[in-house]
Amino acid sequence: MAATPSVRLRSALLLDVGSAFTRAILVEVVGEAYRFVAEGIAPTTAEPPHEHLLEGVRQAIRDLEATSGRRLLEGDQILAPQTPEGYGVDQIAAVVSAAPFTPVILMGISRRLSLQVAQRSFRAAPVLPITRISLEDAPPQPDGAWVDAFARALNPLLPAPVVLVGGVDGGPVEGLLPLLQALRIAGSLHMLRAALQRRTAPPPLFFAGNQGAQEAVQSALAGYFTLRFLPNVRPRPGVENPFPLTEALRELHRERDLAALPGWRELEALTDHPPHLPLEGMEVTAAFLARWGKQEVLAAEVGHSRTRLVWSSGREVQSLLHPVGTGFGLAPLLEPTRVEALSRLLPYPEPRLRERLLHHLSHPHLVPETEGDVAFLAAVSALALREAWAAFAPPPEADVVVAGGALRHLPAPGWIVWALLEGLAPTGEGASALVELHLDRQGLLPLGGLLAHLEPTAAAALLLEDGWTPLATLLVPLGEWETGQRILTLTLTRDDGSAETVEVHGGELVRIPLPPGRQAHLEVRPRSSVHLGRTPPGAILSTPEEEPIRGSLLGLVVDARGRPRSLPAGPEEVQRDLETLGIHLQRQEVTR
Amino acid sequence: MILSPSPNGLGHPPVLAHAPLRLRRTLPAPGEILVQVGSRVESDDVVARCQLPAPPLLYNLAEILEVPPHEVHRYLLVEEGERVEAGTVVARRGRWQPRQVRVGAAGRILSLDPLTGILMLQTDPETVELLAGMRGQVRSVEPGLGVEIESRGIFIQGALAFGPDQAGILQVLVTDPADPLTDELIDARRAFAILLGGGEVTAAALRKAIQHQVRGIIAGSIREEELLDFLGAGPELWTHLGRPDWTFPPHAPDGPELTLVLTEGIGPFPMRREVFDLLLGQDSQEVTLVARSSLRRPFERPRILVPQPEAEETSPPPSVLRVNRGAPVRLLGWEARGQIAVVRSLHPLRRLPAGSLGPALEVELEDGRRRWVHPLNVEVI
Repeated sequence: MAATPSVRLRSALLLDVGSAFTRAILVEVVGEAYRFVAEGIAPTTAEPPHEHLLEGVRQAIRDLEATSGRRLLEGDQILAPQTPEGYGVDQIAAVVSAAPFTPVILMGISRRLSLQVAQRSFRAAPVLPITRISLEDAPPQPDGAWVDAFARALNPLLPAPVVLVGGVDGGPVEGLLPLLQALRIAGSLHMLRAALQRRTAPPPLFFAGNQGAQEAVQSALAGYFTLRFLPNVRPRPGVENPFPLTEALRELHRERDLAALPGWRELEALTDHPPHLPLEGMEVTAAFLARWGKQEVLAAEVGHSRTRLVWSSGREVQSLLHPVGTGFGLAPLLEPTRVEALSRLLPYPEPRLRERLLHHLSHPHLVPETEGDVAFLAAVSALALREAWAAFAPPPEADVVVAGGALRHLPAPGWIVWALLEGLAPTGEGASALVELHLDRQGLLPLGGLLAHLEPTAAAALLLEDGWTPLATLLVPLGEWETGQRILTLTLTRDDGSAETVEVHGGELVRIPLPPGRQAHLEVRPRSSVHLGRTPPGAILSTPEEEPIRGSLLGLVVDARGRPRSLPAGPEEVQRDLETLGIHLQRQEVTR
Repeated sequence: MILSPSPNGLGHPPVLAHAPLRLRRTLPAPGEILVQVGSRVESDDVVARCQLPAPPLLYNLAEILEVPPHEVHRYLLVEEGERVEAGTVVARRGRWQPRQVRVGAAGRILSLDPLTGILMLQTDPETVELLAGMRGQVRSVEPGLGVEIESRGIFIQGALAFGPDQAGILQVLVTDPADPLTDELIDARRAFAILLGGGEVTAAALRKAIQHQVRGIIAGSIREEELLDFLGAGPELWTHLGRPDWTFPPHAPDGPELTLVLTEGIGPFPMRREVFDLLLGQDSQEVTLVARSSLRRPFERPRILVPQPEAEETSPPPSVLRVNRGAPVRLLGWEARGQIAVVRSLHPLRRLPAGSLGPALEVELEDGRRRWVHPLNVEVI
């Protein structure tokens, strides 16, 4: 797709200020279209001794200058707008995720109803509930004792922001009263302590419950909390409305944590629009891709501190942030059950896996340089995706998966596809029964959406021309079978006239090459107990003449290992699947 | 030229023999600063003082007296702001066999909440004294809040630490960076000292150190099983790492405090030779352990500071290190971790053993073998 370049925007500098690294990307008009030119990278400098985001930004731009040969800085200043000589850039935009998750106290009447719906608001905002309190947690004591106990429990957690939910609109308010009383006591204790420490601002409290209880909330908590009233997350039984709370929590993160980053104001002054969260950029990108391809798209990014998933049908967008990543985000994986899960995703036995996690946490900027490092990164990425995907609950289906973040650092497509299959285990139950897997090779998932705010045509051109590398087309048989039993026969007829017929057995992972630039038609004949996507059991699947399968780095991959996909039994299984995907391990510890 | 932009994540070399040392000391609550900018201080000098309010005590009068919250005030025997002694009856209901409430500590009545019927008592504050923590000069004062002490000397960045900041006299217990620090080496002569081990430290040694009131231990590493044995915990302990409720040593809030600084981390690693040699020469000198250590954001590494105010004036460490041919480096990648090597060649774009393409260094290990590493996976020594 060629987009007509705008006179207003000849070039743009896109900044991605992450928790560990800062990337600077140069986009400009090349010929008749906007293209990705080059990327620069440097460690993020939010912490001592630099304590200024712009240090890392400048270093990344210097790296970009070295890579692109283009002058972008005059001393410490970015040249903007672009000069007649072609120095500098016209516009600058940034996404920032350098701040840790915002700790939040979540309180509600019922764990199953109010808190569960509120959690759905939380999952798409960079916040982390440090405690969840519901009336169901109350010990069997008189109300007064309950209030007393919870006030004591809450007090040390303040001034963390509080989210209070509960009740349907127009329902009784009595259920909220014990929570209000506990908050009132905890809030008054906190304000006393704050006064002694010469701090006066009350902690924020978001009320997203029964709208009829706003007056009671106001009279009980005014003065102890900075109150903000939001639409009810559960206005009627069976109706959920999590988005206003999500937006409010994103804003809270921006005001409280991003704004506290050293150098934030200078970064804000530098950019042409207020910096966004990477997840917001990904939402725009995924929605654009879904609308453009008329498909359901899942964008997945495993970051240094967190994993991001965005699903879009074009009209609808669902997002999720999971606090597990490949650097700072490794800490949650120290939990014994997660260490066990990680060990089952590695192709070699790793007896000192917890030590390895601690080593990577102590040295969070490590880059994979050996096969063992790559295997570790792939396993962590798979586990992070697996947990994030499970948290989507229920996970939506997608026809296209675009993967980015740490997955970009895996050196071969087989590693990436393996991590996606173990992490997301797509079922192909979208519109077409086939799932296209792509790599976001330039890290444009968050930045493409950002560019759309500056110049939509530039974003469209960039994403479609330079965005994705096709990794594989995935076919997933579903149903009941015995391991080793023949479950389908497929015929792949390539555009050069060659055809290949393959029998697939239960438990297998099969790959049939179809290189990029080639096309093929597929016919699949499953046995009577097996179905493909939304088709009935035993129905033959045949790709339409006008919609052939497009070639990719790995070609067609058939995953007949069953759904739901459980963790691999051990290294042998991981080795076998990697081998199918073209990864031939070199290490001595290979167990075969 | 290849830059190694802050390979340790903090932007400066991990070991400096002559570095500016700065130690920020902050009161837990606003108070009084007892020194001025330019004052010379010893590590155990008190530089600031504050009154730390204890958490208020809560008395649920409505529940105890069995009356609705809005009626509690009728039975209250004290007034808001009034000072009371421990055992004072603050509320009573009924004449015969009355229900009454005695306070458990001396303090001041803060308030009675009419909505809940809860009485709040502010107990007497305790005085907290802030020590300088390091020999040096007061560089700056934040009125009422804290000071920054400045000196010059040895700066060593560790990998992980447990316990509070400490200062004490260094006692060298081993002669080689691979020597373990075992319990046999610790006795009553080590009281109040900071001990230098070489390689691993054992759980038994940590227990004996507490028994003999040792202030701190600097060691290369500790095996996970030894640490868990000492802490009396299982692997689930790691889920708390870095959280506010993380304590070390365990179950000893009022007992002797021991600080453990690991220069290499968890595992069976000897101490880096250059760190060991540098500290070996500081036997009987005063050492400061800055133990704040976080494996979560914000990322923070522990530091070992040996002030030597008589040392020559030095310039601040560079923010970006240049890796040159011949530079000695320490490898950080998991499989080669801790090994010392010399850079033999630099390549802006090369395929690493993992298969990925990027900047690479060819390094020669001490045994003469060569390998390719990523510039971010080394520390320049």
